[in-house]
Amino acid sequence: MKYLVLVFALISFTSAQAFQAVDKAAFPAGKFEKRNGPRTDALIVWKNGRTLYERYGRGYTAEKKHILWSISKSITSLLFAVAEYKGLASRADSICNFDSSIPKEKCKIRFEHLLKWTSGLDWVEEYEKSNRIKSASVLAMLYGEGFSNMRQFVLGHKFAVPPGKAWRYSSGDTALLMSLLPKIFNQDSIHKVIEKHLFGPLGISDWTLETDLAGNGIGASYFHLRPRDLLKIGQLVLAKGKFNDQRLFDSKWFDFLSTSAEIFKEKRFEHDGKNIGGGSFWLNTFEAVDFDNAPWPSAPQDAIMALGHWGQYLLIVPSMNLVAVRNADTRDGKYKSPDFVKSIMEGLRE
Amino acid sequence: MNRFYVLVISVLLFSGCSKDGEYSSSIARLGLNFSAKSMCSCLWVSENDEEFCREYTALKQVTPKISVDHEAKTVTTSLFWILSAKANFLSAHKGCQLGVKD
Repeated sequence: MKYLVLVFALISFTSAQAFQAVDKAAFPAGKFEKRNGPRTDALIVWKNGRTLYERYGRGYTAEKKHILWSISKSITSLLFAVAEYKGLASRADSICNFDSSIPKEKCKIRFEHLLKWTSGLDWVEEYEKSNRIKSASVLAMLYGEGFSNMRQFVLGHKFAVPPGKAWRYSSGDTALLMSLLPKIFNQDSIHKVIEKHLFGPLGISDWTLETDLAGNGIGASYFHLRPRDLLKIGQLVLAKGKFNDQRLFDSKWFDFLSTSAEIFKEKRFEHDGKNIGGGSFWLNTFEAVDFDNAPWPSAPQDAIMALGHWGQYLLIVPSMNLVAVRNADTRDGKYKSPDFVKSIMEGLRE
Repeated sequence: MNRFYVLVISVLLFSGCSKDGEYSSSIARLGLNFSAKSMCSCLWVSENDEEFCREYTALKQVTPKISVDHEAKTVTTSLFWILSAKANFLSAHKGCQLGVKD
């Protein structure tokens, strides 16, 4: 019995010692005024089939759903991956193949353009701290003249360049993709699509996707999941489309999502020169796109991430068999994705 | 002098006028709609308490009055009795939906 107590104490001590780098960076001690500090709500590190670290903050728990903001875009893209695996659509299809009401000039847009943010539609992806708020397309879509029918709002935009001729991160591209998913799956609501084809098979029951007044799922911003369920999304991507021996999308989809559009290297609009856009995920393959530095220098080049506003992160590193999740409400711009990745890599070395 | 500033700020906030490349919604409209939608989701999707959600929803640009009807699961935001916005909780899977009344 004494021996068992000793072993248990040793395990507890080891566990408490590990990941101090994450504790220190994501959950720093002390009080922060005026929304400063990381304000981490949940952080999970999972590696080689085991959860190595799990901590919640600011009143959040394992049972509470958290808004995912733009991580929603990555989930929306996986729904299309499922559709393609089932033979319902191809990324090379015109968006008009599934909706005859789309204006004819927009038929040049293919699903691969929406998935890799190269639709060519004139779009300004800026947020609340922008000095040109009234020009921010995403704010106008979510809270301005676009809020009641986001699909219609996106389709009302002119082309800045023809589809495929420039890369521009765009919530509009993903919003349009999401609006077409019910027709692709031949369902009358996006919620049925999600339940039957993605979250049901993953065993995710407590989820939310909010809609506009026209019934379009707001797939660029408004998925809400429990942190452990977001971890499952990461595990699905890590296993290249398999979950519990059930295949949800083709393993080759992983190659698609982890490769930048060809045009990314040549022509990018309104880009900070740091992040590398892939197939609705973000990449670390800086050499492939002729960047001088990796976005997350402490991680291998095969690391990919889904990123959301105010500090939502999903990290997937195939070569390390690693998935990590973070939810937060970070308003001061600190503990950015490179800091998150660095603290996890340091935690794993402790 | 204070009245002058109030007038200037009000015109800037409520103005729906747009320059080239700008959308027509005023900053006040964006703020009201954001506050109503975000407060609603914070309360009934993430199930946080009201004090937490008021802090989460606060904006630098506009400070609307936020009214919460816990029974109807509705949030109404308003500015100077001129503009208002409303968001309703629909269901666990559908969360909150923004609607608006001027």
